[in-house]
Parts: sequence; structure tokens; C-alpha cells
Amino acid sequence: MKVTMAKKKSADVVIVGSGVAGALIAHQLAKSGISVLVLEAGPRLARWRIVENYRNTPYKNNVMAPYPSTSYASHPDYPTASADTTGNKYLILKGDHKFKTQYIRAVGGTTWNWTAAAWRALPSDFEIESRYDVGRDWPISYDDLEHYYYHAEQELGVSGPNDGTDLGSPRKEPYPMDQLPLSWNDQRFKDIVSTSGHQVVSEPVARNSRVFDNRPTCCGSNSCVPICPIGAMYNGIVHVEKAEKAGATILPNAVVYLIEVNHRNDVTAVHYKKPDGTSHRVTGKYFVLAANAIEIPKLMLISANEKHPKGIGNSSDQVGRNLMGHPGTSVSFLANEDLWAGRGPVEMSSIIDLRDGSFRSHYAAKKLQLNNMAQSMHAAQAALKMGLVGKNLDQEIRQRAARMVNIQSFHEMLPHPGNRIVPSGSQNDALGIPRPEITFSIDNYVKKSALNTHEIYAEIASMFKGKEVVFNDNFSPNNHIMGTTVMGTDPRDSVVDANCRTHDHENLFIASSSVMPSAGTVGCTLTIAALALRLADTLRSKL
Amino acid sequence: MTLMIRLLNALFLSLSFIYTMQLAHAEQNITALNKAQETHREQIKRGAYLARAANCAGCHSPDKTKPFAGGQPFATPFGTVYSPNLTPDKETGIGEWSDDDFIRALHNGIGKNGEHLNPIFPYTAFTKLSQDDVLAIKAYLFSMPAIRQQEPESDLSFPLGQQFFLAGWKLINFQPERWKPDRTKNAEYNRGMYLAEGLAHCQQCHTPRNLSIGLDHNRAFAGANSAGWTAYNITSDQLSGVGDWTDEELVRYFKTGSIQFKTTATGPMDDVIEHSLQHLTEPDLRAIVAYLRQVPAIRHEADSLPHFEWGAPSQEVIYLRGTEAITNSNTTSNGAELYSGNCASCHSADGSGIKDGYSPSMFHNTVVGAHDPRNLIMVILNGVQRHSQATPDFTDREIFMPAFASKLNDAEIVLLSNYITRQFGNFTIPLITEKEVNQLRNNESDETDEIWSSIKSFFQTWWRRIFNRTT
Repeated sequence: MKVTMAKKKSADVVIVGSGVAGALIAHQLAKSGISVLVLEAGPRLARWRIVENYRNTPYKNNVMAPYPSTSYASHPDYPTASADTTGNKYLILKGDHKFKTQYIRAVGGTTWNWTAAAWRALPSDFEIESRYDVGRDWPISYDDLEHYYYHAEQELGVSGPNDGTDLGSPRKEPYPMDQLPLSWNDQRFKDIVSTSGHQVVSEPVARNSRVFDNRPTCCGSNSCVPICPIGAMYNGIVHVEKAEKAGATILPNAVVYLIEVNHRNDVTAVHYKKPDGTSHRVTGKYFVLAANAIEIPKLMLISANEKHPKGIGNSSDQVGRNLMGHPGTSVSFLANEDLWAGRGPVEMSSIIDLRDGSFRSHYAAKKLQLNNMAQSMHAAQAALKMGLVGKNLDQEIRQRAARMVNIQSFHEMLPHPGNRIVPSGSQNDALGIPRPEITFSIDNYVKKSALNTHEIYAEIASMFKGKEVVFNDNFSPNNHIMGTTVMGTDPRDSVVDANCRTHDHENLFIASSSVMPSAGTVGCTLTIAALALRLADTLRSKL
Repeated sequence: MTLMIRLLNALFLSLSFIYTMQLAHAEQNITALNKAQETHREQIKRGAYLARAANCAGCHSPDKTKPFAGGQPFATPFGTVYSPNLTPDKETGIGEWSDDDFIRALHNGIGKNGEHLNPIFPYTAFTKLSQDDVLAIKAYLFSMPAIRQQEPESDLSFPLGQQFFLAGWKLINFQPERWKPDRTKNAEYNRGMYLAEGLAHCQQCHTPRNLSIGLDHNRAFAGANSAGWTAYNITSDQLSGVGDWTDEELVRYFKTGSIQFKTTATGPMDDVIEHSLQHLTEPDLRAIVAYLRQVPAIRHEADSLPHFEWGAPSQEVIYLRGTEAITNSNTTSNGAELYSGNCASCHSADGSGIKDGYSPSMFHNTVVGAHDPRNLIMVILNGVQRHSQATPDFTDREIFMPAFASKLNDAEIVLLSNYITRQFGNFTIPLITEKEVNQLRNNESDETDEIWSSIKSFFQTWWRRIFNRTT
């Protein structure tokens, strides 16, 4: 292999991945005068380009269309029904259930494209084994993270219900911003569904309800997924730019493929390839893996060498195992009143009364959320299928767009060693780096809960005298990827310690949802951010 | 005994009389004291309003948590000057200033130690203020908490800031004199003149400077450039000035900074509206309008339409769709695409803005239709932030546009701003160049930056004269 040594690159802290985790750490450390180099596999995208890509694509239901996968740093691209893409088969999917997750390899990472839901985990999520005798406890408690949760809320700019609503995660400070006013859809949903005894709440979200951090207030463009056109919603690029201003270097198109370890088991360097295939070496004092819960274990496993035949940091054989998502089901129906989903952000409300309880000994906890995306496309498709034309078509689209209700869910998963990602033994990407191969199945813990979710969907549909009730019970992974370098106290069955440091390597840290031993029921971004800020403190104290 | 009783009685009576008298006297004293306090309170209240009208905070309160503590830097080609601390702190503020000291500063441009003050402090306007008003402002400033904060030393390269230059400048450009009403005009006009020429010191920005950087009174209110921004022509001219605005529009502009399909405040005017104009009484705002109405019209030769009449909605977005590739490339040669991706989400694809004017229309907007596009470029680079207090139509709100200086490079801003001026603005103006954008981005003055070029030539002239004299 040709190794170019033209430019010697080195930094106190080398971070692999520029998403919310890597960018937050880079910013924190650079602010303290620590030299930081961030290696990002993907390209750097301008917001305006993503916005234009979204507007230019005719396939609005493919929310990844605005983020074309590159050949050198591929991310998952699936064939869509409307055939704008035949897919790139980047992920090799095996097992009973295909883990069709999505993520973005680009500067700023996957938070370019999210709903901004910025939940804290529940205290019980950290103690699920002690409390319910299932899953794994964390080596840290909610209280250890509370301060960092708040710090993360400030950094990301979280608006939430400051009216005393109890979301189950005790907080010492109010949300940095008050919540946005509810859309009509969300208001009516809350009014009606609350009468059934379900607890419908406003979600805490990393979205501006006022001018905050030199970013504007949400303008209700209703395109948070796939892209906020004005930056009112938080994206990882915010801290990429802040880190750069503070002195950090961000290197895009640098695909890390090898972690180099010396005889003392310290990481000495990482190697990356440029799109042209040339290889480069970067040295540092500390290394942070902040790719995601698929790319991190892949990198650790393909870095295997004679002394570490199972891969870097993998003496426990847990790297790549315990893969978790939030298997989701959904329901759609036409309500008996106009609700007009589509005003304001794409998601504002959740049902949270099933996030915890003694039932978790037997089946999964879950959170349900109301989709507030404009339903005009689905309405139009249905109306066209009816064979209508002219005024009747317009009227039907209008009626359906006004009344279509869509509710989704996140089910908690338990960590199973058999649910895992490994580097493919046979298939490589364009740079010759093995592709991720994922084996996955969904257990009865989830399936049993989903039956109950189905009943709740039916109950809610009947409250709206729902017509054309359509259940989707196929589990979608919801793109929350967790568990693949699990955190624990025992080096024999976990990959990182309570400080997110690998048990095997003194100077190798992981900033990702891959360290989470339990999945809980909420999107993991705020937990990733809190853990990243905590890790930044740890590193700062060492440098 | 009777005598005794009478005497005692008399004594008692006289004692009570004395006592009553004393009481009455004390009451009078208290009343007088109350009255003095009341007068003082009234004076402070009046001073607070006058300080608003003079926008003291605009320059002297860069840190909102430290009102009037100064320290705002003003970058000039010669170096940086800092606004002084106006709080009653005895060491770093004006706590030791007598009434006469304060009057002398505002009326004569002379500091506590007899030094000539830099005319960036608008004493050319404040010299017109009545002594009562000046002392009311002082009373207000002295009622504020003393804050200990020394502003940094001004870093003015020689010879600017030298006392003999300032003295020379004042000799040519400054005439200390109180304002006198124009008896031929009504009270409203006169109040307006006092405000516009004195307290609100509109000319400081809106009147061009002559060769010696004095205000060019022949072109009063005809518009001028400074620090990258244009303060527009606000004479009564119908094309170049505000002659075609209605009274209601002008008042509304002073209160909100925004009139949909006409204008929007940017740059330093944001600050003037946020801190000063929107807090003035309706009669005072109407008085300013009454005065501006009679400012002699001055037309710019480049203007053939009122600035707000230029431009039309765009259909460009139709031609973009289906032709542009889905790509990871961040380069483009199409200004319409940059407009669509960066601006259209708030200003709308056709440029008509948002209905309530929160995001102004691009066409029919003085900023876009001006013959000098610098405010458009500056607003793209720096964004907008202005707190607007509640009006009958709106609750109070933060008017905000993000800065694009770190998002778009010079070439992209050239593409974008040329698209905007061609489509939504005055398409007869010369194309904007990268050099212009770069200079505005780096806050460099160019030869068209009237104030500083005149400052330069003025000092060069003086320097030569003195040099010749001394050799």
C-alpha cells in the first residue's frame, strides 16, 4: 500500500467522526486551547445545497434523497418504491429482521436529518436490570448525567414544556427555551387522546422557539426531516463551525480504516484514505471514536492485528454485539374532523405513559408520537388511486390532507449478543474497506409489546371515529443505533468503562450511542450529547 | 388664683400657638422638600426620555447588563476609538462632572479637562439642545447605578486625535449655538426640527460630509455612507428620498423598522429603532415627519424610480426544478439557486416575503432597490437583529436574519446579490464585484466611502500645511 507522508498530521486529540458527538467534544476541547483534529469520512455539504437537493428531487418520500451517498464514504441507500434509487447495498443485511437503518456520512453527521426530539432517558433506563431483571444496567446513574443533560440542552438549544409537565426525568433547571405553540393537529390530538387517560405531552426538542445562539426561530417549514432550511433546528454542523472558530481542524473526505496500537496497547495513530485511495497517518495523544454505532465497531474490528486478532478494544468480544434500535410500528386513519397535520415542525407530541412500569419485566416499554408532517402527498396518492380528476380530485386531496392522522412508536429493545454488526468477509466498498454486515432479529419482548401498541392505536383511532385505519406492524429501526460498544464495569463483558474509555486501551475513547447498555424509548441524541460533554470534561482533565 | 389660671391659660395658648406654628413650618419644609424631590424625579423621568431620543445607549451601552458603561469600539481606518463610561462612577465614569462640565461637553464639544472631543460624539447636534434638556439627561445618567469600567485607550494613529487637529476641525465645522425656533412654522415642525437636528442627531449619519469632514449643509439629509452601511437619503425628494412615503408609513417605520413592500431597517438603523425611535411618543414621531417633509428635496442622478418601486416577483424557481442535479457539490454558477437555497424559505420563492412582513419582500424594498447595493450586501454578510416592542398589531418580537458571512464566500455573495438586484431591485446599477463584497466583508473602506476619504484628505491637507509652515 502506498502511504503518503507529505503532510505529517498530529493533534492532542484526534476525533473520528464530525457528528453531534465529535463536534461537541472538538468544540469543548478547542475552547480550552487543546489541539483537535476531526477526521470525517464524508463530504462537507452546504445547507443551501441540501435544501435545493430536497426541492429538486421528485421523490419527497425518500428523505435521504437530498444526501446522495458518496462512493468513497457510502451510507445506506435503499431502493424506493418510486425508484429514484436502486440502492447501494452498502449494509449487508442478515437475520430474521432486516435492520434497514439509515445514517449520514457527511460533516455534521446524521442530525442534518432528524426530528430534533431531545429527550432525556428515564432514571429507570439506567437500572433496567436491577429494577426489572431484564437487559443491562449502566455503570452510571441518571443523576451522574443530569448536569450533562442540562449542558447538552444549552448547547443544542432545547425548547420544552416549562409549564411543570413531568416527563419522568427529574430536572434542576428549566429548558433553555419555552416550547413552541402547538399546531392545531397537536392541540386537538392532545385534547382528545388525553381524555382516555393517556399522557400526551409536548416533546422537548432542539429547535428554536425564539432567536437563540444566533439562529432563527422555527418558521414552520415542516421539513425538519430531511432538512431544516433556516437552521432553526439544531444540526451537528453548528458545533462543527463553533469548533473551527475555536481552533479545531475538520478534515472532510478522510475515511479512517485503521487504528494503530503500540506494544503498550496505546493507540498511536489512525490511518485514513482519501477518495483517491491514498493513505495517510495521523498521530495523537488521545483518540475519540465518534462515528456511529455501526461505523465505530466496524473500524475497531477491521483494525485487528496479530496482537489483537479479535479487533481493537475487543478483548470482551462485545464489539459490534448488542445492536439495538427502536423497532417502530405505526397507524394511519382519517379522522372525523379537520386537523391539518403539517403546520409547524414535523413532530411535537408524544404519549409517554408506557415508557416505564413493572410490565418491563415482561415486555418492552414504548413511546408513541404523533406525526405532524404534511399529509398532502399521501392524500394525493390515495385520491389519484380513486380515479378522480379535476375539482373532485382537488377536493379529495384537501379532505384527506386535512384529516389524515399518523401515529408512530418506538419500542424499547434488550441487548442481545446475537444482534450484531461485523465487517463483511467478502464485500468491500469502493476504497477496499469491508462493508458492515448486520445480523438482527426481534424478540418476543418487543413483539408482545407491539401487540399492545396495536390495541392502543385502535383505541385512539376509534376516538377519532377513524376511517380507513391502516396498521403498519413491520418494525422499522427508526435509525437509532445503539449498544455495539457497550458500557460496563467488567472488562470481560463490556467495551468501555463508565468514562467511555475502552477497557483495553488507555487513550481510546468512544463518543456514541454505541456505549448505551439500554435503549429506552426515546431518541438517543441528547444522551449522546450529554455523554460527549462528559467525555470532553474527562479529556480536558487529562490534558 | 384666677390670675394664675389666666396666666397658665395664656401660657398654654401661646405654647400651643408656637407649637402649631412650628408644625405648620415643618409641614411647609416637608412640602418644599417633597416638591424638590418630585421635581427631581420629574427631571430624571424627562431625562430618561431625552436620552432615549438621543440614543445615548446606542453607543454607550454595548453591554446591556451595564447600561451606559461605554466601551463600544468604533473601528476607523486610523484605529479604534471607544465610547466612554457615562455612569456616575467617580473614577471611570462622569461622577465628578459638574453641571457646567456636562453642558460644556454637549454644547461645546469640550471634555472635563478642557480637551477637544472627537466629533464622532455628535456635539454638532447636541449644541442645539436647551440647557434644561441637557441637565435632565445628566440627572438621568446620575440616577443610574455607577459602574466601574475603564474604556480602553483609543488607539488613534497620529495625527488624528491630536488636539490641534480637533481644534482646527471645530474651527471650520462647528458653531456652538442653541436651537432657535422658526417663527414662520408651526409648533409641530419646530418640535420636529429640534428632535431631528438636535436630540436624534439624524444628520450625523444621513448628511454627507464635506472635504473637511464637516456636515455638508448644502446636502443636508441627502444620505451618506459609513462603516460599510448607507444611511439613505431622507430628504423630501420623491425618488431618492422619502417624499413618496405617507406620514403613516414614516411613523410606522420609526416604530417597527418595517413596512412590507416598501422598506426594512438594516444595520445601524436597526439599533436606532430598537433603542430610540420606537420608544418616542406618537406626537414626537409625527413632529419628526412634519420636519422631514420640509427638508429640501435632493435627488441622486441615478434614481429614476423611488427605491421601493423597483423589482417584481420571480418565477425563476420554476426553471430550476427538474434541471438541477441532486449533488454533493457546493458550487454553483446560478444566483437563483443560491437565492432559493439560502433565502427563499423566509423571503419566499417569488420574493414576496412573509405576509406579516416579519421577513420582508425582496422586491419593492428600498434596501434592494437602492442605487447603491451596499446595504443589501452588508445585510447578507451580517444579518439583522432588532428587538421590536409590542404594537397594536404584534406582540414584542425579535426581528432576526442570520448572518451569511461564514456560509457564503465572496463569489457566492456576488452571484446572489447580482441575482437579487437584477430580479428584485434596480437592474440598471452596475454589477456587484467580488472586490466590493470583500471590502465590505473585511470592513475596509474604499474610495467611495465618503466620510473616511474626506477625513483622510482633510488631515493630509492640514498635515502638509503644518509641515510646510514649520519647515
